[in-house]
Amino acid sequence: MSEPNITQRFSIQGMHCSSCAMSIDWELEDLPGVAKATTSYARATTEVTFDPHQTSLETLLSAIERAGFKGLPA
Amino acid sequence: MSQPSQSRRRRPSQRPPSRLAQPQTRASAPPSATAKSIVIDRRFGLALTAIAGLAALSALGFRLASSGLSLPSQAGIAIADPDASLWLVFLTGLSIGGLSCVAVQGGLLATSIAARAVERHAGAVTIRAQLLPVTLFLGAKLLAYTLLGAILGLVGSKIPIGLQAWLMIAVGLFMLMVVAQMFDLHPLFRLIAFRPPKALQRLLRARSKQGSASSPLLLGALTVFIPCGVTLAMEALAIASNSALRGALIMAVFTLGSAPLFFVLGFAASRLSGLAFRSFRPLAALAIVAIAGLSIHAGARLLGYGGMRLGGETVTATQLGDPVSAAAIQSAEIQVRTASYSPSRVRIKAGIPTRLSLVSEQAQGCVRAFLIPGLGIERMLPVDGTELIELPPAEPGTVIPFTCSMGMYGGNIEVVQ
Repeated sequence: MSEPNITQRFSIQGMHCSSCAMSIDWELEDLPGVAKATTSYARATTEVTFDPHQTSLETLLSAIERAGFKGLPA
Repeated sequence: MSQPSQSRRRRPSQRPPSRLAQPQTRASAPPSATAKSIVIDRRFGLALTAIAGLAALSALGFRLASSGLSLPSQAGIAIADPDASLWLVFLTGLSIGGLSCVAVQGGLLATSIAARAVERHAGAVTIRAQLLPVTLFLGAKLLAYTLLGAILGLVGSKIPIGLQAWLMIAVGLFMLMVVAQMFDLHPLFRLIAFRPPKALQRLLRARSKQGSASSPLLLGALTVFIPCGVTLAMEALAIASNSALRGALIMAVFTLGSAPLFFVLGFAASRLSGLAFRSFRPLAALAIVAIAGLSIHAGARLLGYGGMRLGGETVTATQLGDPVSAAAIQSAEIQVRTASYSPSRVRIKAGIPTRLSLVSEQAQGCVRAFLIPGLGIERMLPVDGTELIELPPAEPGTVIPFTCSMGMYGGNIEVVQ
């Protein structure tokens, strides 16, 4: 991981329990270039550390949507 | 309705079609179907609401039809009663239990099934191929939760009776907080959550990707570590149940209740789980609030606040012997049956001792563990037979509540001039 990773925060709408947070993490971490995803149910946010050369903001947002939630870059 | 979502999750790689593969014509969802999916979502929501209504009606019907049903009692101590709370637990499972965790649990299962299909070079996953893993998953889940319920109940039974009452009240309040969480009333309620350590999360995820035939079993059992608010509420109830068997029963009934929806929706795109959750929320909230109310009421009764029940049959104690002599005594009789003490109100005269006869008739369950919290009296009653309890003279105007050990049934002894 020598590529410069960046960290982006999203606010998440629609989570109803901590399992939701887990499924967002898993969906995001399945993407190429995503080093780490930490979703907090309590704060309704997710923090994604990723390589911008390998993945884009749109890809991240669509992964969040795939997990069943709406994300907004914060 | 159950659109397998794994086709988009893990598309089998470019392999030559095997003979095992079923010819599949279903194409993956076109990306331009937003408008269409909104219509489907709405229909889906309506269908879910209909299912919720039907489920509630059938559960209610079943409850009414089997209200006479009693469960066998364990040697000596009180356990499962044909009480309302167990049905409410079932209703909670039926309405929301299968959904609140479906996002992650269903996702795990779907990934595991898809991985298995890839392993076996099956082109796509047929309904039949899903049936076995889903059954294994739910079976293991049922077993694990039942065991957990038994452990929680056992822990609860070690809690002294004085604290038991406070525990019931705390559990009731906790359930109300879970309802507040369901409706997202305040961000503070989102703190009610349990998340397993990252290592376990990784294990779960890795295991689901392996595609071995035993994965659904293991994953199902491990779901005990990924509970959501409603599940936590049920686990709290299992602790307050004060018995291993009853705790096991609570968790088993809840998990069983959650199975049908999980079967139907387990694979549906998790996108729909939020919508389904909202459709079932009011019904589940009602059930949970009712359980919370019962729990708080039971706790209050155990603490000796029994005055909430005002109606009911009343009996006045009959005086024996010379009313002025020192040997004066009065007696009253209470019939003890599986789900009641009858009459629930006993009127006694102030200043003279009372001999209370508790006459059991095929009494099962917690009614047998008879308590008068105010006087520190605890007595185990026979299934059939009479138990005599001597009460000291009391002041006029006092109300002495009596209750079963779980605070579910009870009544008052009213002292009059």
